[in-house]
Amino acid sequence: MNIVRIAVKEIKSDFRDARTLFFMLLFPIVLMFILGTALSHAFQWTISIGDVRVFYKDQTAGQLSASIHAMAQAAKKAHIDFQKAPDDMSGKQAVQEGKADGYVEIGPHGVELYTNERNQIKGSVVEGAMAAFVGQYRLTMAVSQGQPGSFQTDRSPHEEYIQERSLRSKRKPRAMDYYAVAMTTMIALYSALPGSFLLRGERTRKTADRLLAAPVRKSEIFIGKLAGNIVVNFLCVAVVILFSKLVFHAYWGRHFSLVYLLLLTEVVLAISFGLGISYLARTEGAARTMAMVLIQLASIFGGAYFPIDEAKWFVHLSPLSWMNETIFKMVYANDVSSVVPTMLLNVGLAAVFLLIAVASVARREGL
Amino acid sequence: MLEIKQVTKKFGDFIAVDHMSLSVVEGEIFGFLGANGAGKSTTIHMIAGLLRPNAGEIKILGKDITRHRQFAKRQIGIVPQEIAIYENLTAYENVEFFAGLYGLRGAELRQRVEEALEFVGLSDKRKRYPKHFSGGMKRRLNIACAIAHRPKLIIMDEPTVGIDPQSRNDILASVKKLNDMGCTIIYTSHYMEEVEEICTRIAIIDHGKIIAEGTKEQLEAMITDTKDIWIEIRGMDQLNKQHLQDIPGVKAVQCEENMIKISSDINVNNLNQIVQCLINDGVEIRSLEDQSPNLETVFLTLTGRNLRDS
Repeated sequence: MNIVRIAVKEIKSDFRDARTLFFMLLFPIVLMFILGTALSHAFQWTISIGDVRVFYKDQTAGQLSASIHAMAQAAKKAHIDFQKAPDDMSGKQAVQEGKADGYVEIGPHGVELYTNERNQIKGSVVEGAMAAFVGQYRLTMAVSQGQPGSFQTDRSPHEEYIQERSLRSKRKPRAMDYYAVAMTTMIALYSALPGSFLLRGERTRKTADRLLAAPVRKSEIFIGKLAGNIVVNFLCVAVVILFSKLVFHAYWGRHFSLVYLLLLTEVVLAISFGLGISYLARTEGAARTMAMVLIQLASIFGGAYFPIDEAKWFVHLSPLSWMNETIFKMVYANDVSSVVPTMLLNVGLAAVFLLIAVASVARREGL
Repeated sequence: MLEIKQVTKKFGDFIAVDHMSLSVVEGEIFGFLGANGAGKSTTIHMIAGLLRPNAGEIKILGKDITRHRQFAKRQIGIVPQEIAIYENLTAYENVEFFAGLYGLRGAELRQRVEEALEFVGLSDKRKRYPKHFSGGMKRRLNIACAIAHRPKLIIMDEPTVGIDPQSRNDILASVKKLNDMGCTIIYTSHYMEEVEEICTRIAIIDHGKIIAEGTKEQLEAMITDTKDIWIEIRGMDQLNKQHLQDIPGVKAVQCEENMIKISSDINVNNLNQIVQCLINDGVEIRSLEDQSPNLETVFLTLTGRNLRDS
């Protein structure tokens, strides 16, 4: 009963602290809004390249005419316009002048493709289309080099030449989606700061003696305060998620309850970390500084402010790195395989820090 | 109520409390008088169960506090030297929280909280937050948090530090009232006047040891059994010294210019007779000073320094 009493006191007290509300609620929401809108261009996953025009010359004496025609029809769906090169125009010249994005000579020696380096994207599209065509008919293709080769036709002209294969989900996070996750996991990590003040705060406020003079065990004080703090910080994280979802329309996927469970374990880890640091550091100031520095480093390397693509080894030391990766996989690839390992990692590390704190409290005569 | 036997507490090599023994009788206000660092706070922290003695035993109501910790804690209410309340809880919530830790529940809890706030004069401020309180009000709330569960023994560690005289007087009045209601009180202070005013028995502590213990009169009698009375008069030639020397308790009379110094037995209350004698002799009394030994003198004599200089 004392544990509940102490936890309720903790919750009341923290929610009445304006600093807590500002820092845990307003701060991530504002950052989410600023970064989500200011950096929206950095999260463009599609590029509009417009229509692609390709001139071709059929030098196969009609052997591949039907196939070429079929390919042209199919390519139209992908906005690639295959046209016979006009007799009065050099295809290569047309490409050089920018009147066409590619020029293909389909002949007995194979396929020669000419593209303009100034528009490599369109050139790559044409190359891809031709590679599909050549692959279908096992033709040797030379791109802009003209190597001699032979070809055979044994495919139906109605097959798709351009097929889209993707191992990744079609949905990609917008900037707001990204920062909704990144700021939420970051603010969950910031729970370490109140964690570092959890028991030290009672000593600073001089209420530790009054608590210990009451018929309450140290373990009850410890568990009650820890539980209360976890509830407060988790509720703040939950509110931030709901706000991002309802107001900013951030996408959180279909596994909402798993997201919450995962973040709960992160809050536990963060508070335990703060608690452990408070007993490792000599003073309150040192504990806060240490916690703040480590949180900031974890935030930067964990992709809180900018996505981190490079997989340098130290990046994986940040809890935000494994949290964000797990959440993004869950939300955008529907992959929940790393949820349990991540939760176990969070809880395991939390247990280590809690052991440090418990051992320190047990050794001391006070809190 | 409380027995301390040969209790010692060390912090590393430093001996904070050195083989201390004392007992506190139920119903008294027991004062601990000593300079800063004498060992007062360490002693009361051990009584309250906040520190473990390195040696000796402490019993409350006959039970060893190390073996009956929860029982001992239920009997005690502690008013710490520093204000120990939560700024983000209202006055009512503060008292309710701490009283709840002592096992009070439901209607009984609410009633005791109201009583405690009423007692310290904060009933009308129950819904306000301590951050809006004056220093004196915070001290009173500090006391309310200690008394709501009706402890048998209240430990007050310098409860009037840093507050205005009016609030101080209110607190001293509260202490006496609590005692009248049956609480035993241990009161520590380095303010002589407070201890003299309210304590029934006093222990003087220095360097972790009790160097003197007893009532105020017993302590004063330890260092001398004589008091000096200085009287400034007009009409020295009319004075009959023998009349003064004949008054019971008077040991010596010295006259110098217009001053009379009368050395008298500290246990004999003869001031009225002395004044009457001078009036009968036709002498005009201009001023009178009774230089009885006080605790300050006792402390100075026993420790070699003034309490306020320590």
